[in-house]
Amino acid sequence: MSKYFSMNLDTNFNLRMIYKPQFKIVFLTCLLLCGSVQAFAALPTGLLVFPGFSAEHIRDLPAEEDKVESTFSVDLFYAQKKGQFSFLGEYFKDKHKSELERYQLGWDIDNRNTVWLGRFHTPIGYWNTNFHHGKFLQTSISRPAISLILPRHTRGLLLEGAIHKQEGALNYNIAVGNSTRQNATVAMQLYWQEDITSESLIGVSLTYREMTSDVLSIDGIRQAHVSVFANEEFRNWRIIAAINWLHNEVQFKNNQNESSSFTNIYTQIEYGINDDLTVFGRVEDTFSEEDSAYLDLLPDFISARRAIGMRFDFANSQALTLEVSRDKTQSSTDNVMSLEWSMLIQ
Amino acid sequence: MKKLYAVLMLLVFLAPTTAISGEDTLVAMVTSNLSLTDNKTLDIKAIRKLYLGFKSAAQQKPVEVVVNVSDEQLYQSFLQRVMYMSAKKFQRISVAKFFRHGGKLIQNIDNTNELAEKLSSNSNVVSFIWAKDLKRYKHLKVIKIL
Repeated sequence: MSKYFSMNLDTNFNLRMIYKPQFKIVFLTCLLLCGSVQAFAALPTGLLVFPGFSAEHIRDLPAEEDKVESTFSVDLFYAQKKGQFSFLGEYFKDKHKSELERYQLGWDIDNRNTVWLGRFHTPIGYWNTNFHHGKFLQTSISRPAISLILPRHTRGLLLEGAIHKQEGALNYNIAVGNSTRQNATVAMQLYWQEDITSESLIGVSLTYREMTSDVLSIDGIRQAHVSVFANEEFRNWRIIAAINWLHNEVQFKNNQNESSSFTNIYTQIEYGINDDLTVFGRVEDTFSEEDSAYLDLLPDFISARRAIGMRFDFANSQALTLEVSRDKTQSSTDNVMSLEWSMLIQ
Repeated sequence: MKKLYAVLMLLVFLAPTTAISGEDTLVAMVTSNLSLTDNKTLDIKAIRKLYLGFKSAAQQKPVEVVVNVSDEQLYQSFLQRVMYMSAKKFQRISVAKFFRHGGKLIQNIDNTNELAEKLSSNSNVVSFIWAKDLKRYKHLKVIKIL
């Protein structure tokens, strides 16, 4: 986690000094963007822009240190369809990274099945394919930590489709390819919708990948991942839940292999008080992580988290979200308070 | 006194019914080419599926749905009678689907004349107008009156 925080502040006085100008910038930017909505309304058809600003205050409990992090981000998404052919592209930038997230060329085999070629979101679990960098689309500020440690993109071939049965559908995604630090990835995601016009679904994803590592003593990592996930929406309630099981085989250069498995679960519950105000809470836990040589390579992985928050939607597709959480990593336990402004321009 | 009370109660219950079923508040789902729907009227669920971006397996031509936002009351009536959801939820679902699968984002048109022109120039378009406005746009074919 430490790589995210460039500022170490020891006193409340310093914190106030940092917060003040940052929030001035936020409000000025919000005002400017609100006032420019009309101008943005003339965006080309098919283009979505997701600007955002988030500020985090982290209190490292064992060290009793305060850290502040803030960042602007923008996600540009563009898609077009001509006859049976589709194009989809996405670019994301914040102060940590600038990346062409997706570039895909699609061909409709028929009305319900499409084959894509390019770089796409690996069809794993629920979060990765539904929200990713579309911050405005997700209710919470943070993502489940498990979705951050798995390789999220694949370059290769993706077959996407659905088999409809009465009012329901069995949807599938099958991906084959590779990516940065991944020599090979094979992923399959299946999810069932009882009623295709509802957002409720239950599904499973199975992934096998062979990865490389920056650590000199490691030759490679083989990983098998199974995720069972569900999204249930009824009246004002929404529940997103997933159980993830990962088996990793870390291959060392001295011909020693270390195999281990761990399980991660998360559940997010949301309640819409009205059309503009939503409260939410999320619990994340990891089991058997102590024996995992793979997690030893990821010391910043948040193995347990308790988060609550509130999102307020206002004006033309803008939202303010406040989230408070307690995050536990291998070396520390942090209290985190985050504030995020997000927007959708289309 | 009891009679007066009964009449008043009857009026209270009838008043909203009369308002809802009045011709002024009927919404017409329209297109310029009924062969799009095999010359059949569509039920509400089929219209909702179109607006959520689902195609039927046998559908030959791609159907483009357009949201008529020229009149807030008309848009709200459409949301209540067809989509069963608020405008914000409809936007979230439409954008989330577009963000995930690509394709085409649903177009909003805020002028009924412009919409009627689009409907007449493009035979694959489906949209909705007030039923009372059908007299003005005689080239439009009704898929369903809601």
